[in-house]
Amino acid sequence: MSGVRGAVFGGPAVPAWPRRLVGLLLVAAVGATGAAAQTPFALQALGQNIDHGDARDMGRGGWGMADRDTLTPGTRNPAALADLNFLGLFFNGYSEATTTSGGGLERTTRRAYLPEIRLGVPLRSRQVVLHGGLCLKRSMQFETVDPIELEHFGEPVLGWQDYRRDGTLYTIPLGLSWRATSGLALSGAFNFVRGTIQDVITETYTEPLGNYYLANVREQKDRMTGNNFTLALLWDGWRALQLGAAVSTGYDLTMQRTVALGGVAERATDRFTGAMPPEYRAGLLLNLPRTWRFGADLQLMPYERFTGRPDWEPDLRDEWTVAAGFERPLVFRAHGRGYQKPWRFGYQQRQWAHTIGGAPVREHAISMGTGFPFRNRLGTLDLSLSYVWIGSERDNGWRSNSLRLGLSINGLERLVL
Amino acid sequence: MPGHWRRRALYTVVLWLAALAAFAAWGGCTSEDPNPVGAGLGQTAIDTVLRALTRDQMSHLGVLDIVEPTAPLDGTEVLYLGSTGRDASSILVNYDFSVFDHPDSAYLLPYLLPDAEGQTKIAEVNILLYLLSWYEPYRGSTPPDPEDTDYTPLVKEWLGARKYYDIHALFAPFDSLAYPGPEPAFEASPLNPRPTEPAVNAGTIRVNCIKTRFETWIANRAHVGLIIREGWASEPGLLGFASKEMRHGGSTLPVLSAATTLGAALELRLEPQPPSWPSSRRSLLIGPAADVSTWHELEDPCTDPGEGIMLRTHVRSYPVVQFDLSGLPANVRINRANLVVVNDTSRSLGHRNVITCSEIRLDFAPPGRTTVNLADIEPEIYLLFGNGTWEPEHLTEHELSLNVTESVQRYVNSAYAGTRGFLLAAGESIFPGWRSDPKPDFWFTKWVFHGALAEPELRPRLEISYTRLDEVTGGKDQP
Repeated sequence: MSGVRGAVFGGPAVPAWPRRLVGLLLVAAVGATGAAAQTPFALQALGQNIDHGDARDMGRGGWGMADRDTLTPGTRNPAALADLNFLGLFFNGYSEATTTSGGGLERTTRRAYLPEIRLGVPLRSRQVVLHGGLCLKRSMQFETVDPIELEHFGEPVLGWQDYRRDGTLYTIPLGLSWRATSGLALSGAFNFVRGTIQDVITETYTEPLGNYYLANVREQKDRMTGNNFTLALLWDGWRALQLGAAVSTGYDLTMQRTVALGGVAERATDRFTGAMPPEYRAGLLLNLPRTWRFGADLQLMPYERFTGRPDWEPDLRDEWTVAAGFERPLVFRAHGRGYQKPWRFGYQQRQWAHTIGGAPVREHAISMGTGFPFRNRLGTLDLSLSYVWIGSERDNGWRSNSLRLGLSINGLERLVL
Repeated sequence: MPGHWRRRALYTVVLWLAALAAFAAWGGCTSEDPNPVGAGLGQTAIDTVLRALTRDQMSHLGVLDIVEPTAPLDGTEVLYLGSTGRDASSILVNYDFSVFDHPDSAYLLPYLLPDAEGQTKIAEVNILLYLLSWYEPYRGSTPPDPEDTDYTPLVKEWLGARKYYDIHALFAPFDSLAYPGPEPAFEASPLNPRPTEPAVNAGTIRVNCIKTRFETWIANRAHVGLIIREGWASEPGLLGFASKEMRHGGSTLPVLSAATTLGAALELRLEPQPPSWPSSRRSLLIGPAADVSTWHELEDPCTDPGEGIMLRTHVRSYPVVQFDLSGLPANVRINRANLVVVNDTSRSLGHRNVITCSEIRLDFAPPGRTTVNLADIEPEIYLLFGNGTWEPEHLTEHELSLNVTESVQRYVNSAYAGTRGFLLAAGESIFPGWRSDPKPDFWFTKWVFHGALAEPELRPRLEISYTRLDEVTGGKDQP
């Protein structure tokens, strides 16, 4: 049959086009990841928390800790993965257009991320699932250009300073999820934490012409390594109320630093150990009448306990997130008669882990979203649209407004090991 | 496939494509160029930017006197005559009248030798000197418009109008390899009437001589030497003339028709002329057998850093300098390092030439003077800089900046063993990209730069701009 071929891993035949589109999407997303820009608030400390969950979570405000979906579970609470019946592949990405303004200046930046890829493999269907993947936690990217005007050796010197910060902190989780009872799922994962922060200052001199000054390039690279554990549970014993919680343990984040000055043979190296705080997450879900649901999540990462970087410590604040929203979930009608289209909306507020201009940075988001199932119920495509505003000109000197388009693909393969 | 499934499949494909397009358009578009938005939020900085350091005390001054076995002084294309107070040169010329023994010249002998009445057909004897264009009025270019009030001369006044010429017979022909050196002994009475007014005609200076001596030399087929000296009442200045080796021609010579008899040619005007000559021909030209500039006075290159620095072409002499760099912090970025020298225009003279600056081992050019073969320098140098626009006699531009950034950075990076300095030289063939045409042995140009005892703004110095990172430099205690 045209357009249909055998499933990977020898499963039943499914249409080929979803997999091709997944490939195309991956190429597009990975290609777009290199596009520069974000918000200038990411220029300090560990930057911006970009762990937004999947588009399903983003569409309803960012909650998902207490969600249980036996067909295509979310990844926000790894304990929920215990209900996987098939092999699951999860791609969560978003693209963002951000306009930052302040002091009469403005800049619009665009970027696409693919912050999470996760694989869940049922070792025992709906009982024990092995999961792993790649999850970007924080991003530190922005670039500024400032003119240089000074006098040197009795002559005017003109040019510009380009400051570019780039970097991510990501985890590679590897864990197990276990449906302990019909009302309780548990998960444990070991996380390899890795990342880099690269700060590059380039000073280019354009005047005087002819008798020019060579540019300065200061390049500082911090390579970060650490390991921690995540323990999670999902209690869904009642129909009306479900609860979820997770804790990721604190850990030592080792930063191996290299500092170089362009043209100088000598390199400086240093080593820091930052005591990363634990991260706590909790959420609830209330099933409302007429198939609607209400959910809320809390997240706390007490960065004020962070030690090891004296340059960051005075500005660090506890990072917390509150998310709440409503959802009319995807429901398949009996006997293959279509499905009920999901609708979601919600609100989220987050305090960033560091201050800017001495004041805390607050990030707000209002969101809406929907989704579509794949044929044969083998996964879903979810979309979300969020309006996000970060900081304030009065308190922080700058304000960023973003439109964030989230896109997630949860693909299932009928493979049971 | 059932109809409702077909519709749903089409609907899903359209939806996918729309989602992908939105995702790509949203995030994949190019961001606006960076600007000052967010400037100052970064937590890293460069500690010290463009710090100035001036070193004006030379720690080393050596001089390389260049020799080139294939290009001795008597092989140069220019003959110099005149004096500057510190430099003086006359022109020596040998003529060999035995050429008239050649059978091809037999038809001329009845005109050159005395007849029965003791008279020759030689009506006049002149020595012709071919002045190089650069030494002509306005240096060969169009005179300035007298109405042009903005005209600013770039060069000094013309010297040729103030020069007189004395020609004497030497007691013996000269040895061309003995120069530079003292003038050889010559007869007291001149061969030309005193004083001989200069006569400039299209770059040719014609000095009329007393013919009787020449008639005798021709009759005896003698081999004689002459010296052409700067005459009494001449004002200081050096003039350059084509030697018999002149090959360059081009813009350096206005007269190319005389190429076969370049050098100080002897002109014999015959009256009457041999019938075999064309009607336009009036004279016989005899080229020199040898010619050379004496350079009987030649200023010694400075070897005392307090005195100055001299770079000289034609009789080539190149300085090697270095400064005390001990005040330069370790591991800094050199944004710019200029070797600045200030032209002492009261002592510099000559034609514009290429100036190069190269890194060289100091022990190759120890303090004092060292004579070295040009070819031996090539493996020792690392070219840093070149400039071909500077004029030694420029009226306003006296400060020369030679960019040596690369070398100072190499010093900071300990890129080489030992110590190195800067060789200032003309555009020799060993400097790719900065080879001058004509070669540096053509023009006599002398650059003299003020020394370390001059006023601070006139001293030779290294002006260094550097940038420092405390982490790389090793602490904040250094300057």
